Amino acid sequence: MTMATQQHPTSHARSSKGMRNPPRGRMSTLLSPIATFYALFLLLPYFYIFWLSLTRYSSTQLYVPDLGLHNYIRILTDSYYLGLLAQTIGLGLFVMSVTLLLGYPLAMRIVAAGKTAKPILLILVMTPLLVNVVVRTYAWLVLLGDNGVINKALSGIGLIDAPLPISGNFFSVAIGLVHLSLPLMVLSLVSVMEKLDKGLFEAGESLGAGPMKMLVGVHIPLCMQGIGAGSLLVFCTVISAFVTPQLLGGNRFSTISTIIYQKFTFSMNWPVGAALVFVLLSLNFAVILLHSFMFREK
Amino acid sequence: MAEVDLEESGEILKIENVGLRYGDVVALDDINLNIDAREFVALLGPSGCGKTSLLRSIAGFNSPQKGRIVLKGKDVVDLQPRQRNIGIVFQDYALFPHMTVRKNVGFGLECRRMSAGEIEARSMAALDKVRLAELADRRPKELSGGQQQRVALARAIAFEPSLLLLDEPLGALDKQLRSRMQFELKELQRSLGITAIFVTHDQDEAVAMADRIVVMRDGRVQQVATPSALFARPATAWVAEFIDAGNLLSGEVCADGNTWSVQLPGGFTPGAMAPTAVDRKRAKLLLPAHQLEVVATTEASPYRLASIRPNGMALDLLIACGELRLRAQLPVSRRDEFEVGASVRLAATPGGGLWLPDD
Amino acid sequence: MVNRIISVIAWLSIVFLIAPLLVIVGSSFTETDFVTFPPRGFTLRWYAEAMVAGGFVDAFFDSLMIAAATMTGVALIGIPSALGLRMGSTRTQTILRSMIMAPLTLPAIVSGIALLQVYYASGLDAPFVGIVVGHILITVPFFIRTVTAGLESVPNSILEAAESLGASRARVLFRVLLPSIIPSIGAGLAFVFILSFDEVTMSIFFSNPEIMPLPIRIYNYIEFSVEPVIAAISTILILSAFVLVALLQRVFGIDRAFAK
Repeated sequence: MTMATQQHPTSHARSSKGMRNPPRGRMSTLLSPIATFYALFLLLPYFYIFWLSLTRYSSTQLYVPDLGLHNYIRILTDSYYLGLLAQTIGLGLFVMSVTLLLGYPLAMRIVAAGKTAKPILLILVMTPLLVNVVVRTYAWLVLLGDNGVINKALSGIGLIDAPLPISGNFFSVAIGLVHLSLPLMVLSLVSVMEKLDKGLFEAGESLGAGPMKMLVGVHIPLCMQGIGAGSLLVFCTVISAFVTPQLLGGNRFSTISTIIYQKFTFSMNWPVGAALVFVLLSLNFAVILLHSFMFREK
Repeated sequence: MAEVDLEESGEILKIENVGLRYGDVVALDDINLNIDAREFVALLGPSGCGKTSLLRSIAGFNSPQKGRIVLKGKDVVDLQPRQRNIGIVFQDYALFPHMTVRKNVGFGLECRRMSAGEIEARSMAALDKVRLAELADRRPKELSGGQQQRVALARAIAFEPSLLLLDEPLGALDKQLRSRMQFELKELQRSLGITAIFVTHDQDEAVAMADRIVVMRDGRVQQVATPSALFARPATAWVAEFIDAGNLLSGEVCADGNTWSVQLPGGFTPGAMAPTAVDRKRAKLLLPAHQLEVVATTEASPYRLASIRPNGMALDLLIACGELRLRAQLPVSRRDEFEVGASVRLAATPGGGLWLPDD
Repeated sequence: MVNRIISVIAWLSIVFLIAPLLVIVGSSFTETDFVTFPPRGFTLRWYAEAMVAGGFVDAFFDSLMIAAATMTGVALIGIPSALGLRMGSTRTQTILRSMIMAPLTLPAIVSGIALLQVYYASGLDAPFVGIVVGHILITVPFFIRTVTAGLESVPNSILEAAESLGASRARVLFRVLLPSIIPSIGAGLAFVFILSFDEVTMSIFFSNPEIMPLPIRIYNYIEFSVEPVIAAISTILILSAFVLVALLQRVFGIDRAFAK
């Protein structure tokens, strides 16, 4: 019997762990591209913005390096910015609730659908996700608006005399964002609902529970993780959204994101804009923490 | 493909004082084992006993902190798996899904930089050995479990390794296929003259295929013996229980000359020659089922026949007395003597019992 | 009663999702010079218009180029990252993975502004590079997640088998590991393509008349025009999306991804 071994013993010291470890050097080489990329294009820019947020606005130069927390203090004390924060969070909560209310029944029906209906429904829910946000928002520009489809239709039937103010306000932005976020909520819920044990519902029915009790007492509690995941996703998407509030909010309704944009492009108030950036980031972060706390494994 | 190499003899693998720890957990505790050329050895034991750790240590996927593993005269403990020239059949076969059967089998040969002609010739030879030559251009996912297993085998022997390791090779097969494969595997090993070690938790499988069985428990070797020696003389009560060698009886042990007997509920008091170096207080009597004599009786007896079942050419009887259950095995010709629920008398065949240490 | 309400709401939701898109599709055929629904008359002239005017075709090719460059960059960065993530202890893996996925939680508007500032500060005049870097930043976590999932389905025994057969580390990597994950790399890149093609927020900052992805073109057009040509372009995009999703469902059975 031949022995075709290469005769080079390795200088492989016996690891105390008992397993053969891959050389550490290999791992850091593989991860160096992304480490460099993030360092240059993520860490560096964000550190710069953070530094900016500590500077002071000046109308002559862009900013004066007079470092301090004044921008943050201003944001957290000024009634305008507090109102903006409240508006943004309110929008987030509103859209989150509406998508949940609309999405939950739709998800239930999708999961219960038959072999032909289910794929069709899923296609209908997923198609908007592949369309860019501008086109999806444009649809609402066409529908809402003083001369938009809805107003024209309603006055055509004679239901209203003057156009309804359904554009350039909280309502129009909210409805646009609901439309944007609904597929996200539905898909989060569907993936959780599909995994439910149907036997539990049969058991509940056999015990005499009516549909309401089944829904509130059994179905919803079992889907809590999905509800949490979907809500987190929608809320964070909404408070960070830019295009939809920009297009549908007109000049009258703003969110943190649209004001940030404004500060950096029109009013050229980079320091305050930068501080708002970190306020938005903290908000996102706080919500994520809240979510992990609320939905932790017990 | 080399047939039986008559030059090959003597010790192929020597495992000396091997110890392996994962953090606080001791996986292998001072293992010593010698394996001779052309042997087919089974590592047998319950899960967690260390048999897989030992196999993986031989293969090179574990690095024992202590001891030596000497393969063909060389200590390989510090060598990478790829340098050890060992063929391995994994439990899940681990066939490369993106390669055809032919490419799979030839992979080890490619790594050894043989010419294309050599690779083709040896791959097909290996596939011929497992009788899968006509499926050479299929992909693993198109094959049945049994076929995949044979490809894994062909791949492991194609480069003529020094040693063949198999990790629960037949575990995923259904019962019928398993018996057939046991026979084929053994035949293949013999015709190739290759030394093989396989891991199993199924003692029937170990008995069917192995020349010698290594029984392991909690990281230690309990006994190394041929199948018949193992059943005839298990080393300890635990081994006897694990391989299901027969009734293990414990109770009040009385010594009488050089005989020890144990008194069982119901009065039956079987005994056997007193063993040497065994603590009387920690001993059990092994009474194989075919060494328990059972006779139907009309007298009152505390022993009742609980069940009777044919088992091939034999009869399996279960005798009950209170909580005690005893198994006996009689020739099937004696079926008519017994009736379920009837009283029976018991006796032990002289010399049939064996005292074992209990640990 | 409860079931009736659930069904009604479900129907309303689907209609709510689809109706606005159908309105756009419908109004793209109107003969009027402005978008109106129901459409008045029927004409395909806005589709013809979209092919020649408005810079939409140029923008489409710009989007394709950006997407191609993004896919390349993401592959070069993401594949080694996914492979590197597989090594190391489980704890290292978890920490590194959260670090790599971090950009997912960052708002695109924020990353866009931040990147823009650094771009200005660098003095570079290469908006194409700027856009592509932004797109890579947005899409690389999704790609790595997809490839990592594919890597996880490669059992360790396959790699051990290759090693035991004598394969060097390089051979294991290139002949065994990489080929096994080609499907997930493909899926990841397809994902990246779609994300890049549809990317708006970050691209706003880097677009200029020379290089403008399609969604930005549409965005700018909306600000000053109500011509139905926008509806025509949008319809083309909506229908493409629909066909793509339907194809994916047909070929891969997406509905099974949600099943048990």
